[in-house]
Amino acid sequence: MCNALVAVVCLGLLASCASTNIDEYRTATTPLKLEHSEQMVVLGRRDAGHYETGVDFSNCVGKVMSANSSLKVMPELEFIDAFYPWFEPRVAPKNLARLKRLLQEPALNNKLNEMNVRYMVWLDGETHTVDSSGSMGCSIGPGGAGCFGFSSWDDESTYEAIVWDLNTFKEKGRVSVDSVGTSYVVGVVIPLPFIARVQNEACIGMGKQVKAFFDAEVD
Amino acid sequence: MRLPALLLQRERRRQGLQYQGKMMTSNVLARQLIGARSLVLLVVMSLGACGSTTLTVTGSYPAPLTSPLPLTATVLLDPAFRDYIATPSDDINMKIGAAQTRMMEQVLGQRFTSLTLVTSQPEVIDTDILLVASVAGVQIGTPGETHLGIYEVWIKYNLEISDSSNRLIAKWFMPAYGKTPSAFMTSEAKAIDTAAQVALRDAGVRLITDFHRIPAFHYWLDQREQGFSTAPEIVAPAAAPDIAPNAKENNDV
Repeated sequence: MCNALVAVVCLGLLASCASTNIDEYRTATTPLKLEHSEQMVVLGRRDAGHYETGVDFSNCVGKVMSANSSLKVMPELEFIDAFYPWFEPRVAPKNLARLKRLLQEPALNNKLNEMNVRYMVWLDGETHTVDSSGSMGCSIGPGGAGCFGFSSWDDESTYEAIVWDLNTFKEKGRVSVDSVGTSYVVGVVIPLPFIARVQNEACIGMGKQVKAFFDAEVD
Repeated sequence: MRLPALLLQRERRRQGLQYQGKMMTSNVLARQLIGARSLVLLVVMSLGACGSTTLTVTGSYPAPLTSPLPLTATVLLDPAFRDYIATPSDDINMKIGAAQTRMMEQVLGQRFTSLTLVTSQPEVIDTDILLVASVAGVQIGTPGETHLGIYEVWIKYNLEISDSSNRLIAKWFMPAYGKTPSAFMTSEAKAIDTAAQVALRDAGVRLITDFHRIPAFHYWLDQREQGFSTAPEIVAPAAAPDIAPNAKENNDV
């Protein structure tokens, strides 16, 4: 019984991993420069009707990009509040031409210059469950409680990042990330979850790849 | 497992001192007590999960980044608006009055050069326009209904704009929309609160980007900037010229 439990745990740990594919496109091979006083912002797209890029994912990518580097990444909510209402889902610019027109509003242009935001990284995508199987039953009674069964589900994270240069109003590159993984819950009296951290893997992959676009010295 | 001695004594007296010719041990008594109480607790918890949900919409609403319209405004937000409780379904009550009042104050404060807030109809309007806001309706959509994995909130506002003579310039039905994805371990109340905050922020967007585009208001603003004193005819047409006292003055434009 003990050996069987150990075998199940080992199998679960090996199986609940995520695999990630990353593609990138750059307009230039030289790294992008970010001056010491300049900063960037990572924003999520939320205009689609049936999904949105979570704030947790944007913040995660921002943290990965700013970790151990000189890159200054402004928190998304702080940026959206500072520029309210121009980056709300209803009116957020979908392309650089629209952004350029928005910046004709003097208040907006002055604020952008004041905050010295040089690059915008737009994230678009979501993490969702594509398949699930199995079942788990739990019961409680005078004699005790327990869960029995086995269930699994597959998660998929698909995201794309686009880097905008606000000085030249040019797109500097794109990164796309696809991450899949299977999670399990094994019920052997107590439920043993083995969760594949698919969104986290996508975040780390995306953050590191976008960070590689920039000439970021290690702090 | 051991229970306090007093509890065991009481239980022994209740069940009798003998069971199948043997004295009941403390462990057997303990298991029976725990089992009965667990069952009662389970039933109470199950019943507690039913019933209606009341939530208060929270959130902070930033001041917008915009150039104000060249107007002074009085905004009437009556107690019905400030204390508004929406009932989009039989089992959900949403207290959005305080949050929408905060949003209106913040956004309209930047939309006009000067803003006066009142809670009842003023006798004299000493600003360029009077704006009266009311809630026309609130609706929600949940994943259980739409199968989309998101919570949605629609809020519809009715804004009446009058000039300083209390003549109606325009009536504007302004819908606002907010959504948030459902997330593991997030309660329905929290998700609806978040979606409502997004909807209120969207209402702020509409006030900044679309307010000056309301056709009748845009015409009035245009006429005012050109120095004319007419309000557009948005009510029933005026009566015959010899009845309307101001008809000749208006036709001098």
